[in-house]
Amino acid sequence: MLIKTQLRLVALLPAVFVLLIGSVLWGSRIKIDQARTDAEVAEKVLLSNFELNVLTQEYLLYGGKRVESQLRIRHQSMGELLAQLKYDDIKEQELIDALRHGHQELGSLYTLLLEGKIQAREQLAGVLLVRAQAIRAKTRQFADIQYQQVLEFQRLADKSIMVALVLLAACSVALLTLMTRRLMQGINELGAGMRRVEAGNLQYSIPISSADEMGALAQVFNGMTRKLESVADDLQQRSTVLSRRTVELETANADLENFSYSVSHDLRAPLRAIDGFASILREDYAPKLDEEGRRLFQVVSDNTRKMAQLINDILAFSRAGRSELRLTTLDMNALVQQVWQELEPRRAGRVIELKLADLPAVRGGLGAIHQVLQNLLDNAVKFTRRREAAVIEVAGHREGDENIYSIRDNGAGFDMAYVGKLFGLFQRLHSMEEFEGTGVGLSIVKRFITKHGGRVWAEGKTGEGATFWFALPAETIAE
Amino acid sequence: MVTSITSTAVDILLVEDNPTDAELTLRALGKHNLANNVEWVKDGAAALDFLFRRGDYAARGNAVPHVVMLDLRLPKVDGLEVLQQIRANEHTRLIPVVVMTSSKEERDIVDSYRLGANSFVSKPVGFEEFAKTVVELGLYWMLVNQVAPATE
Repeated sequence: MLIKTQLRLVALLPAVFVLLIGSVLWGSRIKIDQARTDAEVAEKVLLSNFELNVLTQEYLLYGGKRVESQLRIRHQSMGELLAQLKYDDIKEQELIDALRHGHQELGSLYTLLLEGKIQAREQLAGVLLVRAQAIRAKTRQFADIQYQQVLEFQRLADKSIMVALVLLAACSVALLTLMTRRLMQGINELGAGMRRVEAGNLQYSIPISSADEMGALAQVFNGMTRKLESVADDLQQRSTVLSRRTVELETANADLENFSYSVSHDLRAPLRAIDGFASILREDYAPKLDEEGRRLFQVVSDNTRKMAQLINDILAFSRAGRSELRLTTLDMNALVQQVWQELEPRRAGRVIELKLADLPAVRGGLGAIHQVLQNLLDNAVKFTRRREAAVIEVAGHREGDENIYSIRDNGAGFDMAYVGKLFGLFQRLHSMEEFEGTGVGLSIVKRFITKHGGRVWAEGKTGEGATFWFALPAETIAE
Repeated sequence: MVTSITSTAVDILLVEDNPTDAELTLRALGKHNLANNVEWVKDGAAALDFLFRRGDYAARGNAVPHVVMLDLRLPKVDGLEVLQQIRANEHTRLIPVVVMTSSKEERDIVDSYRLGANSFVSKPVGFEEFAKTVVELGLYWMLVNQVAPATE
């Protein structure tokens, strides 16, 4: 049976008892009213009996038609009153029958008295008084019985209500206890099952088969657990795949680090040997070499140097990706001036005007931004080589939540058609004969700026110069 | 007292597994008459044997070199381990050690200084620069630098 139905039944119980008590009260009220009415009629009978007696005395003393008719009227009304009486049991019936019989007797006696002979009057009056006395006593007895009945019915009703209330309380308590026990058992089983699932046993099913709401709840929960189990399995599988991938990635990364370490260490040694022994050969066998021989050795040396530069640049690019940024507040003006000083050997013998505007400070990695400025300024120096009056302008301003810096030169510039290739690794827009380089510098710039959460872009025109911008987040500036 | 470079004791201990690098180093030093008392060992174990007078070097005199030129990637015992053992030994802990390697990796530089290297030099690839660097190092540690008095 559903819990809802059970609860409704329990709620119905008091209503049933209220109806029961009501009907008991109603029934006893009818009985009491009847008894009261009978008692009142009996009182009236007593009164008319008393009046008949008084009228009889009066008639005996004075006689007369008026008293005569009054006697008749009184006797008749007494008969009407007696006809109203109702009996509940044999005892009352006997009493009422005796009263009615007595009343008839009285009637015949009065007829005798009113029409009879003078000499029998005294005697008749005596009989009349005796009869009236008997009626009075019986009427009183009947009235007392009625009063007794009123009291009894009242007591019975009270008792019935008390019993009904006690019964109601007992039934309610019993039913509620029973239901509570059943409910608690269901809840406990559900709870125990849920705790097992919570503890991680996703295969567990709560074994409640009852057809009530508890059963439905258990079924829903079991369904939920099944779903959770499949999700957990799925997750487990994914995390297994993921951790395997992580291990693979870590291995790949370690391989890559070992590779760049090897490049740094092992590729240089043979290169040094080539250059070194070529030099030794040139020194020790100089007299035996002609012009062409010396030129060939020079080609060897130059290419060794280029390869060395390439290795250095690849390593620098690899380090740009791996190194962690330690952010500090950077005085960009001081940094530009420092880099400019360091580039002095590259500027030797040239006239270059550096126009340095007031630059906003920024949060950044010192080494990284130093490298960025070095590469950009070195490029500017390199590509203005053919200008007699080279001008390099460095500017910067705050725009929104970014600091934007620009480095503009009036050098060789580039064709905007290839701007997309500018920051790519090993991408070069000029021939080796025109301008040397490995095509790594701007890749490093982009890598470092991207690492800061910033962006880089450029604009240029062949023969008129180039401008490089880089933007860094400004909101992290510690003032 | 500054020990004369003509002393019969070993002045420079060169720890280098690459024979061409070693030859180039010896040639650069030789050009400036610094190669007379150079001992060249090819791995870390031999370097430790030499310094602690074990194995092939058990019969060697007690003198310590003026400077150790130490490569990092070495067979048997690597350079950092050699450096650690030199610094851990009472007899050798004051010997100047110059780490000379092809590496420019930050972790190598940091590890070397942390273990007590006196200097960290990245070998230039070009021979001219390389020779210049080696000679400058040799001259500095042999002639300019004041060594600590011998502990014995």
